[in-house]
Amino acid sequence: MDDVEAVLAKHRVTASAAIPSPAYLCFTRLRFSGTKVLTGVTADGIKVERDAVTRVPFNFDWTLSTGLHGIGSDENLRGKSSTIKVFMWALRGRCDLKNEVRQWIDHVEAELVIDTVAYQVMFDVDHARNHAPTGTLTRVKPGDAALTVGVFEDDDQFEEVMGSAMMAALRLPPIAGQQEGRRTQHTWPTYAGALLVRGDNLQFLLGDVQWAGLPSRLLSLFVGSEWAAARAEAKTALTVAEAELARLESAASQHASAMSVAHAEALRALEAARTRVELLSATTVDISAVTRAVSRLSELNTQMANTSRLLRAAQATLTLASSQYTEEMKRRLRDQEDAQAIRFFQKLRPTVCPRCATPVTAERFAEESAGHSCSVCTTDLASDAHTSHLVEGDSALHPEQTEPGPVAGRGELDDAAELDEPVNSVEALITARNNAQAETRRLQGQLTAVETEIASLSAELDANQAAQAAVAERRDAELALARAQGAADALKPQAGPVGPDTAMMDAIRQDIEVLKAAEKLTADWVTRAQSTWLAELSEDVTTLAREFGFSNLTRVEVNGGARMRVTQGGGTNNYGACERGEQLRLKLATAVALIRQGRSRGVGRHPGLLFVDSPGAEEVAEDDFDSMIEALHRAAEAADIQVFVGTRHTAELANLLGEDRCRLGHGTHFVW
Amino acid sequence: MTLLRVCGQAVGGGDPEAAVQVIRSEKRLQALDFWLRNPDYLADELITGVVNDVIDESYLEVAERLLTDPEPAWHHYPMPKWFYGAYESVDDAFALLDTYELAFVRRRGAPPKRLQNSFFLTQHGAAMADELATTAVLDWYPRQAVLVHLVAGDDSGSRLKERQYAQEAYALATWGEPIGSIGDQVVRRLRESRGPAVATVGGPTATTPDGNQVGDA
Repeated sequence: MDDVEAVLAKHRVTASAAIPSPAYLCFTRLRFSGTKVLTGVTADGIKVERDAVTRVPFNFDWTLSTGLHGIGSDENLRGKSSTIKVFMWALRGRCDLKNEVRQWIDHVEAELVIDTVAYQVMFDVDHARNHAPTGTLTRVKPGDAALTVGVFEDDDQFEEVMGSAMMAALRLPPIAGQQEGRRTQHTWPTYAGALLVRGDNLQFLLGDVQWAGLPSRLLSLFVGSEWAAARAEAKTALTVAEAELARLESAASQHASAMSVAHAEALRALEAARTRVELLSATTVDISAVTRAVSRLSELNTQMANTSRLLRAAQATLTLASSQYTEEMKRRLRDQEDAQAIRFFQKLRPTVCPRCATPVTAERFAEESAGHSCSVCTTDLASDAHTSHLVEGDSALHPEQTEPGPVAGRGELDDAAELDEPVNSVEALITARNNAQAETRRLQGQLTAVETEIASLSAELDANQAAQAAVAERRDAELALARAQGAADALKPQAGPVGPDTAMMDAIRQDIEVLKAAEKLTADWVTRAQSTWLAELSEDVTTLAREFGFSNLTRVEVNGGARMRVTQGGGTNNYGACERGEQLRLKLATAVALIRQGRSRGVGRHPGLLFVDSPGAEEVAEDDFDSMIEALHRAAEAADIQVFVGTRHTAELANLLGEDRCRLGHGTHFVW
Repeated sequence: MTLLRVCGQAVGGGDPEAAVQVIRSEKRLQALDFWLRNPDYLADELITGVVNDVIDESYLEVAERLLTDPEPAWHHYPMPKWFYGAYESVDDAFALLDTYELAFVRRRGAPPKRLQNSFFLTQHGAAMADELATTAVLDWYPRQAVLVHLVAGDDSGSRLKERQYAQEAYALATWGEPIGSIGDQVVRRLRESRGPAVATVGGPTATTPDGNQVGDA
């Protein structure tokens, strides 16, 4: 039970109801002043040339009581509607006046009585501030000092001040409503709208605002069911809650579908990535082999560079050793040749001097034989120089073909060291050359091996170019797979609440159950209470409408939805299908009937004030209108309510009501 | 003396009585001497002879030995290049030969005709040259001279010079400098003409420009 109370409180549904009792609202005085700026007409309303401008000061002052009051002029645009609109401005705080009229007005004072409390609305129109109303609302209880209820300086503040004051004074609850799923409150302007019947706005039976269920609620409130407010609140709360739930559900479903779409997408992407990885794995590439080959290749390149360097050095060494060996052999050969040549020539006898061609004499030869002096140059021949060159054989010429060691055929030479040295030097040179040659061959072999390996590795790598690309591609594919896996996991539908708060939705669903019950209950109560009243109201409306001139009306049925079934001449229509004149009469009859019911039964909330503006004189025949006005006058008198009628039937008004109760603009004259 | 003995012509006509053989121009003598002292050029001429079917194919082996055996390299005595190709003065050599009555030089011809040196070998010189051919160590020269005679034939000195100038290394040698070796080039040529692997020359490895092969066109 407490839970239900809490739910109702949360949704602003009143859980209790008091029997509503009507308050009486009545204007006692209206005064407004300013300066009219007329163009093309004189102060008497006579047309002059178009550009003529007349400034006419005015001071409208009307003291009022209950009953019917008339505002009339023989011609249009003479201030009838403006007068009613000034009443409404003062009452509602909302201005419906045309701009130029508002510009004329400098000051407004309205005095009204609610039950026994007098209120005074007094404001100036500040033309310097966009014609903003600045003024006060004061309350005067009998025997009390005046109390300022509110101060206002612009339209919004004025409306607020009047709204809160009037709602409280008239004991009106705010009418709960909703618009597009949002909670709205219809307050004073809405109620006040129900006080005005305009000839050019007859489509609604009650009020002048078309909002969901508003006419029925107005009717309920006016009819006075104590549960009407609670029912309106429950209905509104239900609608709002359902709208909220629908919003959440659609968001949730959208979210879920979006999530599921995204998840499906992610799964597809995951599958594609997996397929791609498998596909790439199928072309197995020994990446480590490729890597090894690459690193081996760089090793080999280094090795090749080193080997080449060594080889060049070895080749240089070999060249050097070879040329040294050759030079040495040349030298030895020359020595041998020289020695042989000397021996050869020693056997010969010189005949002439090679320099001067002087013949060598016999004495000289004799000298040479005896005295050891050369027969040509007379040099002493007893030196070793001539014999040291003497060698036999040529074994030294072919050291490679002989065992190293002392030269064979040493002749008559004794100095072994002298003999060993050349052989040994040749040996050394040969060894050096052979070593260099071996080193060169070895390095060349190495280099060839390296080059071969490089070539094969390069070929292998070239062949694996595609494979390397495949390796990179596979790495990418594996990354993509991991990413897709992560995305799919993130988007996987969760067991718990995802997106919109499902707990909240559940709570709202529960609340809706409660609210539905409350709405049903209050509707039942309201309907049950209303059914009797509505029957009486229908009867009353039928009688009044007939009095107002709807002569062929048989029966009217007003239901709880503020819908009216109209039976006339054997046919039954809805209110909306009736003629404008019929609609006017029905609407007036309904308003008056509501007020009368409230007054007679002491329940309901209609303030008992009615404005009827230009009740379509063109659609209403004069005698009909007369009878309607008359009937209205009677009804107003009987029910002690205040009614204002704005019409062009000035003569009838004056006849019926007398000048005091009228403000008329005869002929071309203005109402004020 | 050896060149005269091997390559010289028999004397005749107005030649000195003491002479048995003669080389009638110093140009020819210098050309023959060049081949004697440069085994690589000699080998190239042998190959040319084989290619042109002038000499027996077996001489390719001789050429190969000239290129690859160490001994010819030891007998490689480069000659400097002068105005008319390879030249080295022969005066001292002939003075010595003259001393022992082995050979002698005579100038012939009178203006306007050009003077020409003729190199004569005496009977004694011929005998001594033959003895030299049997003398160890020194017998290399007569053996080489046989090859030189083979490739030179009876070509005049001018013709021999032409043939030698056909070698790029010879033709492009710097004036006054020794004429470079063509060993590597000839080894390649030998390979091309025969096919067998020929070892690199163990001899002097003076760089040689890669020249056009000659004589086998």
